[in-house]
Amino acid sequence: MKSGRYRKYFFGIKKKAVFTISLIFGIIFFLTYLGIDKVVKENTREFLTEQYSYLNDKVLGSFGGLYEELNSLTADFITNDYVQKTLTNQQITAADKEMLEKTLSYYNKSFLDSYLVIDNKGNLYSQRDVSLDMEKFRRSTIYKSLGEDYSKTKILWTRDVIFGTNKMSFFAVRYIHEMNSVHDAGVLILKLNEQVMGAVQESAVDEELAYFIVNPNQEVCFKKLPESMGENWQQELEQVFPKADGEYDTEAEMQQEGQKKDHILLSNNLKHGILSGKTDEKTQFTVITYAPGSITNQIIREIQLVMGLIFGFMYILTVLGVAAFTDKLTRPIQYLSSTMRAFDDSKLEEKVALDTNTELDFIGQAYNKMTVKVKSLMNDVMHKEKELKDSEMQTMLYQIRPHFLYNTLDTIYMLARIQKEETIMKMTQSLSKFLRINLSNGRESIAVSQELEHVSSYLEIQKIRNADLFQYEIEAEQGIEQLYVTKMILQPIVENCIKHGFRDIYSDGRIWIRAYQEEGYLCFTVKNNGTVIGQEALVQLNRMEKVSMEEMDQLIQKRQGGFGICNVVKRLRLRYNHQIRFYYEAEADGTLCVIKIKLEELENEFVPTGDSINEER
Amino acid sequence: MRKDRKCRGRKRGFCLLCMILAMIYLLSGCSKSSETKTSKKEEVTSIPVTFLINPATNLSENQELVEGFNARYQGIYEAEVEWLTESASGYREKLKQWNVLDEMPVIITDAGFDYDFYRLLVENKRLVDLKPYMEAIPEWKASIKPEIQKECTEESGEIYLAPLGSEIKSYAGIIYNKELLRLAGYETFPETWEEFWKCLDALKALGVTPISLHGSGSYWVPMLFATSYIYGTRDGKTFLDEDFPDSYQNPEMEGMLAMLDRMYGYTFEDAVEIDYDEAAERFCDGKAAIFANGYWMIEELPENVKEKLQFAPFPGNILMNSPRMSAWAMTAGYDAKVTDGAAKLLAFRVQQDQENTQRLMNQEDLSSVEDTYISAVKKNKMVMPNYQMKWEQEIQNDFFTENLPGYLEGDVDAKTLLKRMDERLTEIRAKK
Repeated sequence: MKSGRYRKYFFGIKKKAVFTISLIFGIIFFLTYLGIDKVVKENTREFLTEQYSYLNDKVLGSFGGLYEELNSLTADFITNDYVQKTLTNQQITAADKEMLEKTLSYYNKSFLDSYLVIDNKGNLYSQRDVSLDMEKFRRSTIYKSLGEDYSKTKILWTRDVIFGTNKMSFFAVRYIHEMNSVHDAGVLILKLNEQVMGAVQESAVDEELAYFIVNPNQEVCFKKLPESMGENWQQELEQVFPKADGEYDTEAEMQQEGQKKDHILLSNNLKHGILSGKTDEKTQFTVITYAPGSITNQIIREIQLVMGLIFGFMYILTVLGVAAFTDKLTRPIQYLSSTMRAFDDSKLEEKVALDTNTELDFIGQAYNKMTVKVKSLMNDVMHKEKELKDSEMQTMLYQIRPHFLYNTLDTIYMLARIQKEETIMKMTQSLSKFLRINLSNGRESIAVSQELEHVSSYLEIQKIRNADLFQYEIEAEQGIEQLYVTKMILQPIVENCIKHGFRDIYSDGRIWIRAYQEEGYLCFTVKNNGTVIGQEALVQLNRMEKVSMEEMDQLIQKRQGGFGICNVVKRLRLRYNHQIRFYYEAEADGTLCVIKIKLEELENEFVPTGDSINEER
Repeated sequence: MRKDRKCRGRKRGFCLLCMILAMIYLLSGCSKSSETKTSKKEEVTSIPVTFLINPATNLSENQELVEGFNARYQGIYEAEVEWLTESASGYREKLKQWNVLDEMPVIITDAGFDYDFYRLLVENKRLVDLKPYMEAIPEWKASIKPEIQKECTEESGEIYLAPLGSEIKSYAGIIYNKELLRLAGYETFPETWEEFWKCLDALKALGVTPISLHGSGSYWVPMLFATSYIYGTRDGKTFLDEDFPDSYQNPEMEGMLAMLDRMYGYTFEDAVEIDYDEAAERFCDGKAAIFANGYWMIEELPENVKEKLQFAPFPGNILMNSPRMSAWAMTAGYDAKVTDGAAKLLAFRVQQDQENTQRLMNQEDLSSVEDTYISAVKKNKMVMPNYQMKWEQEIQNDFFTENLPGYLEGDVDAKTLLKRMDERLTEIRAKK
């Protein structure tokens, strides 16, 4: 029941249109969504990367500022007169040494833990009690970090092997060169406390992000993590970020992690989040800002959700719109369809009324025309069926005891012969022939020879009746006698000749009947030398081969007679699919009637086998 | 029937394909191109240099050089100048600091003044060997006189100093206010030391400060007079021609100190306290009649001042010159592009100087002081070396600054001063 109702309202063109268009729009929306999603993802990541890069740059700038401050501090140390004195070939005095330590202590920076000046002779100057094995020192990371540069300040994050704490600490180290002349260089070492990263810490403003500073060996020397960092974050972080020092279990793991470190510093757009990293050119320290996937993906997911809702809503609107539109479009089609499905002979008068201003209007109009035509055809068929029935009735009536009629006529003929009544004999014989061919055992077609015999019998009777009013001649081309044609096509013509052609004469009338083949046609001509046919009658009769069957009847009515002619033409047209010619010609010495039947049509003609008219006598 | 259905299926497939292609096309239009257009224009390479500005005139002798170079290499190199208002000696001190701090500009001037510092730079590989660059720019090499080039070439063949091609613009002598001297009855500058002293007396008698001297920092102007004074004698010449003498206790130095003492009687009362820049400014303002310096100062003078001044050799027809004075150098540590640009700047300097020298020698459109400078240079003259390149820097700067004021005040006599000088020299040598 439900399925039936569904089918009633949702099938056919509407169903196909809704499904197809919805599918197309679905694909379009889906692809558009995918495309926009891709672009949005890329752009959002790009935007976020830029944003985090900016924040990263701020931290980097702050770290750069720290470097400049340390550079300035070390510059003060290495250009200090007493420090310079330590580099000359002279040993500095105890007073100078005291002054040196005093002036260096004067650089009281909150982040400065300790200083150490090592002159080019291996003497140490520090506010702390420092003892140093110079050989070991020259192999230390601190000394090696000075590198090839002449006197650049170097910042280090390394283990404190100088001041004895052995803890990872920040150091600022620099070569000390004598200003005026060639001397070996000394070394300045400043140990920095945790306050050194105060400004950097302050510049890391975004509480949601994680900040790291790694040294050139990619050891984490500073990190600031969000307070609210959950376990998920840590897991994520571990996936993208190397372990801290000493956390590796095996050497292989360390190597693997080392590769990961390199990858991190090269990439700033990770699967799990966004990593912005930039290396300070002067210090080679890298500042890294990490925005985990839980933040970046959340932003992208929100955008995806909004887009999904918009596209979903658009899709639903589209489907509804398509359904509404196709409903409007298919309503007249459904009306047309239901009208056609309900069509029967009782609804021939019903008209389709469509005014959609589309091609459907033409279909409606064509349907209306078609119903009119169908009605006309049905009337024709009914009429013909009636005529056929009448004809059958007629035939049946003719067939009532034809032998009795023939025997009676034979008896009359025998009596006339006994009494030597020639005329009666002749007339009785002709009538007998005429009737026999007329009835033809109910067959419609007869041989041309029989048709000619039939008309000859008729003319013989008419000659006796009209006392030598006319003479006639019948001529048939050899070979056509055995062709079969529909019967009684010449008799009505001949009857018209006598009735109308010889109405104004009393003797010397002549009728010529010819049968022959010409240009693929079987031709009959009937000519009389009586009164020439009038123009009006000629036109009316000649139209009969062209007009419809109904119009033929009207032509006869107008003419007040000629039913026999009309009957002949109708039968010829019906029998031979209109492949006939029938016309009159008014000639100087009389009237000629021409009947032509296409020979091809005669080929389909019924040919009686075995029995013949004569056999039935 | 089947064929018809197959055909319809193909049409549908084609439509779907077109649709997908159209979508891909549209979407590809949406996506931002990752390709970034690379600018064909190459980045201009900055050449960091530091040049001095004369505090008295706010002009620099290198202004024309910078403008010319930047115009010549527009779009390729640009000399990025830090204009420094500083005295020459102050600049030289700064150079030492910059070196210690590893912050030297790519081109340094006065590179050959301080022999010890120059050796420090060379031995610590702080300078770039210019030989390959000079060979790569043949016109540069061709512009430099062989004898000047020889002075600036290491024994081992390296070239760290880039001097001017000729000595024409490197002479130092006396610059004087012709109007003030005319008032004292001198149309030309005295050619003997006797006349010089008379001239000073005449100027003093007129109420004009005869000579503008200074003390603080360096005793450059007074030492120019003093060294030229002793260079006129045979022994004095021998002493001054000696590189880094082992002792300053000799009659020539005593005579020089006496001359200095006498000369400070003709200058401002506060001369010992003022620096070179102040002394130069006072001279240019017409507050004193006589000054001493080289052509480089003339280049920095305003045109109206140039017309008031004239140039003359020191009495005895002596001019001071040393090819290394004009030498610049290129420091190490910069990337190849910057170094290459700096070498082109050095070459451009020599070529531009050659053109300017030619114009100067032709005496076209010259001011009074330039005209007299060229006349003095063209004449047969005795050329004395720059004492700054012969004596220990610490003696010239620190020792003089610390001790000459006492001597000039009469607190210390010449012999004691010279003894102290030798003692300091011993200390210096010991420190080295």
